[in-house]
Amino acid sequence: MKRMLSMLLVVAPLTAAVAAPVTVKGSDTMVILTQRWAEEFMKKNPTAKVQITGGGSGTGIAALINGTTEIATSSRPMKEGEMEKLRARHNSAGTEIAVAKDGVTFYVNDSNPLKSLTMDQLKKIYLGEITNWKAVGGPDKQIVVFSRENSSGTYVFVKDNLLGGEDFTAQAQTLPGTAAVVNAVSKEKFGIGYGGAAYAKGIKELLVNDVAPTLENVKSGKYPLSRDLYFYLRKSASGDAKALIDFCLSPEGQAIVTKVGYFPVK
Amino acid sequence: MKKLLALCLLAAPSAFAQEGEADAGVPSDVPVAAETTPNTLQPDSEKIGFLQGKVEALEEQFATTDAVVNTLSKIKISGYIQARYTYAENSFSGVDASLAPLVKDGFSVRRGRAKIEYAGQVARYMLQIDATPTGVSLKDAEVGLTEPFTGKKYFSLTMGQMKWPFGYEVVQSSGEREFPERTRVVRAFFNGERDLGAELAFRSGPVRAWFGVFDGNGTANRGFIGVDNDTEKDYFGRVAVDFKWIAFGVSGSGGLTYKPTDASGPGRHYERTRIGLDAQVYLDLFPFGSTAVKAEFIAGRTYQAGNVEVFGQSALGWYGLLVQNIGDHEQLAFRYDFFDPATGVRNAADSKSPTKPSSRNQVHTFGLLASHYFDEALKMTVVYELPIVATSGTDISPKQNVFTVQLQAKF
Repeated sequence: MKRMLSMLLVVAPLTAAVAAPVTVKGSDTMVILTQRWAEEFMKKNPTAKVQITGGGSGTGIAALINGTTEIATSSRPMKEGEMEKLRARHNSAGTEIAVAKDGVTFYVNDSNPLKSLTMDQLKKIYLGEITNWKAVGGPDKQIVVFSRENSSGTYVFVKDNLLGGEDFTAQAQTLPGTAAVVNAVSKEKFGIGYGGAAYAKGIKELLVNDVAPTLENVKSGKYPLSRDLYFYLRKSASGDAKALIDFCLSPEGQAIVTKVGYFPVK
Repeated sequence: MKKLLALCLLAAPSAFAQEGEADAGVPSDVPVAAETTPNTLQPDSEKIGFLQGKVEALEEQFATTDAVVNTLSKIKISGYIQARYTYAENSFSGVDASLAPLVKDGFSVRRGRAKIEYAGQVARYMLQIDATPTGVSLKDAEVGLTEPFTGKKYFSLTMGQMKWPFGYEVVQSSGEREFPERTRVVRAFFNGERDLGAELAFRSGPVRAWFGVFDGNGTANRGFIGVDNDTEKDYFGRVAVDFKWIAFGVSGSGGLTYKPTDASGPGRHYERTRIGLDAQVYLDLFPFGSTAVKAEFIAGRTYQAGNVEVFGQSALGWYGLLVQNIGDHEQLAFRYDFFDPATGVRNAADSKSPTKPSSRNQVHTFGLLASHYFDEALKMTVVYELPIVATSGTDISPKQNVFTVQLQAKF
């Protein structure tokens, strides 16, 4: 028995508490917003440090489960499989905080005469069932479809909410980050892409079902492709992480949300 | 991973393209390589045309690469190895000169799993093998169909060899379970945890339901592994609700099993039934780590002991598990596990050896665990388990305490 106890004590290691910066990782859609928050937060709290990296919502949540980030940012709710992994590894259902709202916007080149597409038309374009702009009232030109990587929360949102879980057309060109999609559409006259409203500068945003992704429409749910943007933590926040979240949800933090181009939750 | 693969696949043709440019005599099937680099004397329109061609060629290559990578991203390979040192007392085997129980200790590879999965739009494939020093065995071989009609994946059908859809601990992966071994009641009623059959699963929001039809003998019933010794099937059903911080479910199964020879005649069927309740609660009580409380109750008739069925015998058991995380790397747990192998039968001494309790007596097992996660792949677990067999007066509970150190690598 003594032998067993001594063995138990030898192999039970202790971890020392080390002060570390608040690490935030995940959604590419939320990178700019989170950076703005962090900049303002660190100005007000000079001793606090916040480290921000993108990589996609899936990457952020995987890092949260693996313990390599304190906060995961995600532009989609946590999946069932991810929740199961979090519970298995940390015995926690995690903490979900909606920090902003977003309307997933479809972009076309400025020169494209189209102003609005229906959900059904968008679905057919992204499934590859419509391949020519003529079929939706545009010029007789091949549609160049741009999409995101499958680690992106925006990709998952569009797949689940527009495509009904079906696969994107094999012709869709996958780009790393919403900024890259916007850039590609701005250069490709017959291109179409999607992303967050924050990145929609210099190109034309399409109305969906004749509804624009405005504050009222997104908040009321009238815009059919609106979503919450989340912070996920392994458990309830404490220390600098809590202070950062409190700041993000404060009137000042929510004003930054509007400035960046998203919609406040409060 | 997908990104890396795409880069590797893209980099390969680019390398050939560069070689092609350096050596004009080497033909290349890559369009970019066949063209000449524009010089300063060429007009702008030609330069633009050249660059446009180059971009289009790259786009074509990218589309091909992307299609390949998309297919590969649907394939997932995972696995884990559990290497173990065990120090087990067993006074049933005798005692030494100082009356201490004899000890069996040694190293082992308890599990060596390799799993490959494919998840397409409709089809699913899963094959898992277990390779240990004692041999290689098939654990799971599943063919899955996810309904494509609603786009919400409400229903899925699975056929092959899979875990019985019952309760919490049966289906929980051994790579994720806190304690290295399942509880006595689960090991008795669901020995091997797997069987040949088909299962229909439904999920919508927090509600999940499973209905399964199985041969019934499982993968560990000696003499009947991989065969159905009667025409009877076992039916399984489970309904569960999962609200993230709390989840609970009710499960049941029923069927018949055939005993080929019996004292009362040439052989007969026995009832093989189980009913179960389970709940898991995940709490955020302390600042240093999360807490989980899990419990499960199972009762039924006909179970396995030593890989052989105890026909028609009713039994029951339950366990309670408390898990406390400390920071991101440490975990402590306590488990109480009760098993009554013969409900309604009083605890008694062994009829042949009155100092020993009967094998039909109740067993209480207390387990203490400490785990350390070195990173997301490596975990060390130290467990001390103390089983106490109920006694009737003349008999004494044998010393069967077990100390285990397990190192698990998982990817």
